[in-house]
Amino acid sequence: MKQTPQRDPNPCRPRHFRPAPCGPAPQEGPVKHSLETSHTRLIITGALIGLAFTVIAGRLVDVAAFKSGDGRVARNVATTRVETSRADIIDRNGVLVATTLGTPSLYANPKELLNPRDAAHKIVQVLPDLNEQEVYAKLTAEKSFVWLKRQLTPRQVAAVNRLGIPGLEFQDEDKRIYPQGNALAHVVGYAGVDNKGLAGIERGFDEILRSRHKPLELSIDLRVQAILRDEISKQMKQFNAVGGSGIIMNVNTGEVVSLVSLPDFDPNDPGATPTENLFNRVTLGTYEIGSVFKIFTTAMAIDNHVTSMTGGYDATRPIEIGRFTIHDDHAQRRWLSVPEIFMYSSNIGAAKMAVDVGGDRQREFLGKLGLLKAPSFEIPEIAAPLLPNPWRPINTMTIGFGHGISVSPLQIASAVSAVINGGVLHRATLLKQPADQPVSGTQVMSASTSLDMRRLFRLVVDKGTGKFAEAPGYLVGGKTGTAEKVSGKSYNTHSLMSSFAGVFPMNDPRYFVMISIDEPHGNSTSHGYATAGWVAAPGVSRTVERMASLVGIAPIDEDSPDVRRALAITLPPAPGRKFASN
Amino acid sequence: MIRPSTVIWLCAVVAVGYAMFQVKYEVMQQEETLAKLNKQIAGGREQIRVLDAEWSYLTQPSRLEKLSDKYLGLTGINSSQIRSMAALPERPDAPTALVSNRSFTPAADDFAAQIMAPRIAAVAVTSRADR
Repeated sequence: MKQTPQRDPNPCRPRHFRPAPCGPAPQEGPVKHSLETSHTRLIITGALIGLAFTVIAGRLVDVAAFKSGDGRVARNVATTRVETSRADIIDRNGVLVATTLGTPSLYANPKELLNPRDAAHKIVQVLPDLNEQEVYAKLTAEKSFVWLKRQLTPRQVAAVNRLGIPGLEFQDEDKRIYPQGNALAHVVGYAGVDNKGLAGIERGFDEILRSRHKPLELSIDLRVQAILRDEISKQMKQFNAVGGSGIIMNVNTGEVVSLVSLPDFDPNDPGATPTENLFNRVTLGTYEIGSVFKIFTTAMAIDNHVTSMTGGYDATRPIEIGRFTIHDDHAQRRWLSVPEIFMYSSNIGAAKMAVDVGGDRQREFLGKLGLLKAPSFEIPEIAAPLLPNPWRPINTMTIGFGHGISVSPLQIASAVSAVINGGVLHRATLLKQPADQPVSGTQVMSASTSLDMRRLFRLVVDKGTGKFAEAPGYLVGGKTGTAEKVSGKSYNTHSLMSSFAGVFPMNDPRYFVMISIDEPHGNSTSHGYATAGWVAAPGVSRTVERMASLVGIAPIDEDSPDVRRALAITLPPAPGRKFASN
Repeated sequence: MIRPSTVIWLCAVVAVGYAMFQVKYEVMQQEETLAKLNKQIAGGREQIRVLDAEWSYLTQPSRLEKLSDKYLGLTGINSSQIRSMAALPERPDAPTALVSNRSFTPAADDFAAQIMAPRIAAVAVTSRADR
């Protein structure tokens, strides 16, 4: 340290007061330098701190006054919804047909149990289907988690809770529930324990059901479904049949309103049923449908101008071709007009009609109606038709009256709907279509052909083979079809497939209704007959009568001039013509 | 020496701090209530789902039909029991302008369809007895 003694006015002052308290001390050299440095540092630090405070203040004003925060605080206010692993399925009126519920499953933590012997005894008392030995073994296992029973009912949960045993806990697991049971088994299908769809809509829409929350709306009307199922099972019981199937379709949209295949199963427990009951006769079964096919033969002949409503064919004698003989079941043994061929279901007439049209045009026409390939539909249980290969002239003939080709009832439904609704083929669907939008379709025949077919349909029920399908006021029309089932390599005259394909009301067609009864046995009520007119037609009649008011179809006066004009047929006079009474 | 402004600021700090914590605790409490309510809502919704399923189960058409047969003895609607308005006989003193004699007018059919609205008719179908 360097000092200048003569400049110090008070030599005795404490040495640490430097520079002097009063009077500006001369600053120079290193002192001045270090003062300046610290001054600069102070300014910089102050400025930085000031800046930081400004930023904080700015942010405060920003958050408080302008609310430009990211809203993280407010986000958890939104209410939580019930998250399920699969969307519900409802019918067209909103009735629940499949839902997922959290079902509690019982598990135990053996390490927390005080008295496993006593606990096992008590548990088996409230859950009798468990085995006490097994439960005891589980409760004494060296684990901290063992399942005791999966998916308990609320009553069982209450009973277990009442035991008050510490160490027993519940965990919710998702379970698929089908509250309507058997009624929609073949449509909805079922899902397995791991929530994977295994059949029906559950499988066809597996991905969609998993990813959405909105319920899936089916085209099915559950009330109509119950009616159809009831009527088919009544017919099956009455005629001691092995099975039955039915389908109701909206002819103007292709919506399937009801689909029944009996015997059926409980989708809540599909494992408990024989495998053959899982078989969907409507979509996966293909059948030689018999005379119902004459609908297509007749429509084809009229649409191709091969014949007309006033034309006809000679059905006096059976047709002999190769080793086959084609004869009529309701033989009239005379010339028959086209309406007569249809109403008496003449095989000879239909075969001749088909031959006149020719194999190529027949194939083209049936192809346009979607009868030659597997239909596209929402459930995976879909069968492709069985077709003759090659398509010989004899096949053209037999297909004319519905033999030698096997199609599913679903295909028949779509095709007949097209024949009757004005000639527009709609894709069959199980999903509800919006009512305000026109449904797309392809024109497959002329509207005038379709009008002729409506008259023929009505004629069958009015005067032909389908009289028992009549439902007063609802103008049912349709076609019977009784086919002998193939057993081995030949037809079995005693095992029949009796079907009635009906449409109502014929003056303004709305619904297609078809019932097929598999292997019916005639009895005294049917005078021993097991044919479609006796077995399937009455079921259609009652179904129509019961469902009409539900779907908003008012009964009409069949004798009103408008209706008569719309459905009139002039049968050409034929010698000795008389109407059969069957 | 403590200047008056310092005193004011200190008071302000204490007041703001107190208010802030007050608000904070209130928010915490509200959030707790909210979480509880949300849980209740979720529980309620789960309950509704269970009840929906039970309702659907208990109103199976086949079950209702059985119950109706057992307790009500009603039969299904016959087509002869349904008439359009136009088909009803005129009331003698009714103003004739309101009632049309034409049968099957579109309006009358609409009305018939309306009175047979599905929900009302549901009662009828489920009460049908075997015939």
